[in-house]
Amino acid sequence: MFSKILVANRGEIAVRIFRTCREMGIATVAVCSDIDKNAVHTGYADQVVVLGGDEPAVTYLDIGKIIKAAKDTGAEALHPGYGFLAESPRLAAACEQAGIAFIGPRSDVLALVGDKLAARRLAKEAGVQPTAGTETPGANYKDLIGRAEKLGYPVMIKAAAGGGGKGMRKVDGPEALAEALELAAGEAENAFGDSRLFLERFIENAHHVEVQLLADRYGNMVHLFERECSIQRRHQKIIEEGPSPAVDDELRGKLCRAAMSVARAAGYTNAGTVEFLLDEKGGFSFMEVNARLQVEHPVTELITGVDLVEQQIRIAAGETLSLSQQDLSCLGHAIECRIYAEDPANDFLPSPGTIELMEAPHGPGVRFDSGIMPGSIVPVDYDPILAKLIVFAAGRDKAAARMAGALTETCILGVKTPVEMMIDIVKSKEFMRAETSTDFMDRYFKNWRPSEERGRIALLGWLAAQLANSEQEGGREPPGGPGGVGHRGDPWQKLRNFRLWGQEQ
Amino acid sequence: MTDNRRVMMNNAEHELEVIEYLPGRKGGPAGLKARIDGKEFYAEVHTVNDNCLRIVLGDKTELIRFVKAGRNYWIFNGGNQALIETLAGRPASFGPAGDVTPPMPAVVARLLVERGQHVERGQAMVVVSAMKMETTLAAPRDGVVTAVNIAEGDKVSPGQILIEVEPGGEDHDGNG
Repeated sequence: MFSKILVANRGEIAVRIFRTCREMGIATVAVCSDIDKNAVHTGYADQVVVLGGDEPAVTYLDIGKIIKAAKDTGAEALHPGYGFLAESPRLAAACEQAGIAFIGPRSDVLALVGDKLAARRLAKEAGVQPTAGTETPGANYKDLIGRAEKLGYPVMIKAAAGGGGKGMRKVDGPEALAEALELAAGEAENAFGDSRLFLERFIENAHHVEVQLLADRYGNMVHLFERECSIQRRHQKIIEEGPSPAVDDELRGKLCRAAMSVARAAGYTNAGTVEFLLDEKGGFSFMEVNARLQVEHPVTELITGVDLVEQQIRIAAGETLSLSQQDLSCLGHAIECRIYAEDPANDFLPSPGTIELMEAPHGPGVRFDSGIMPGSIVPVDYDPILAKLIVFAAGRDKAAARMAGALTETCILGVKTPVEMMIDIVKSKEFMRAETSTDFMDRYFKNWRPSEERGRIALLGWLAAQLANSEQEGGREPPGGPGGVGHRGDPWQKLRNFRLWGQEQ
Repeated sequence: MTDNRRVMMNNAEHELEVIEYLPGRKGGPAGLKARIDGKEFYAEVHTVNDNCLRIVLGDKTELIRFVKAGRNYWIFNGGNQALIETLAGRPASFGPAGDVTPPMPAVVARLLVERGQHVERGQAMVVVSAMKMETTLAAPRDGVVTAVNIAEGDKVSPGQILIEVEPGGEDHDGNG
């Protein structure tokens, strides 16, 4: 087993990986940018290497700096987390060359499945039908416009190198295609340095369902059932659950077998996910392989009781898979809500800032994976994920009720979060009826606004806080108008509107 | 006693009126009768700690967490999150209609126009990026770019004028 692991990531996922390392008695190394020097993840590792700079390109995406950090600290293995370099064949190859174990698939497998078009061909060869679409990237826009006619509208534009919804666009008719292609190509070029696009026929009322796999180097592979991830905004998942309410036992068997066929054909090792689209008639088609630990992996951990990070580390260390398919069963129902720093009442605009106050939810069956604490900076430079709330219960209805309750305890102040909207979602009749198709948000929550009634209670609370404070101060209001709730007698709380080096505080 | 206060909450204006306030005695709760947006409340207010009040409204209890950030308050109440700004501390507006400002703190990813350039309403002028999401800021009207106040890579925030556009076909200098 490894004695030391470097985690090339930040935020909640770095913390989550450090937790398992700690349980396994493995020493840890965190890397961080300048702005992240005091970020929560740096406090969970035994050693910290400051990469210098803030932009992703010179920090969490800088392969040279990360490999050097691993060598300098004597780390024997590297876990990439998700996002950043998680699916980079170049990082995996650099690790292989430096004699560091990469906790993920081999570099050639990453290269193969990372090309969405190559992965579609691979699935077809393995007997699994990909979504109806173009088999090769468009030579030019005119070519793609011709092919869209043949596929039939609406179509989805996707980037061959895609991920995270970048370059993805739904187009309803030919008149909008040329402009959409241009925008998608620009987005793909910026995000991946690769502007190749392809088209898929859009499937109405589809469910996004994915199968979790684990495979060792010796040909052993198991599936850990499926997750449903249909509730998305900007083509990025926000609420996930497992098992999928749209999948019965027979379909589950078919999906899991199909996922394993694709992974076998790719020579896949370590943890991975095969994504499918499910149509209204119970038919399914292959979308892509996610060659990493996924954001929503805790759903699977809760329903199976398996620590996926521990399994990843053991597989990377060359151990034989200790789980057999017969050992695995689905123990209940889990739901995850991703808590991003964004404003759900304003088109999900990012909301960077500082965490001013925070309290995590607790209780039976409640898991809170977080990368923040009071005082944490939420920078503009990185992905807006703050935390994930995951609940487990015996069945779906109980899990939904547990999620609604846990969300009411999830106090994160200082940046906007979608917590209130998520309460409304998990309590909605559409969610309760499991009408969770990929257009769920557009269909049911497009113009969501915070409740006015709850808002009035917030205003009443603000007023009560103001009055309680002026009472403490002997009825005098501090200079600068009403306000000043805080520590009694603390001059920093009483002083207001002073100038410090020319900036009004 | 009349005590009226106007505040902004989540970008909308609200009216609060204290009808009666009875301070708590010897650690007991305070009593607050107030009108919020025309609706009357009577609340028993218990101070739990510096960031938490327990408010009893008849047979319902609400835990209110609050924290001050600059001149504003963040309030949390059972999943509801509110940003409350006193009107005195708020900038009057985001400048005249011809100015381009980002909707959130961001980094300038790409600058698409230069000073002196004619632009049409809706034309993309600058792309800002925050947390991996890019937002294109468009020209608010037809006109001429009279000032470009930023460069690619700059960190910018709402209210900051990135680009100024003046109507008409002639080149103005400065900000007219």
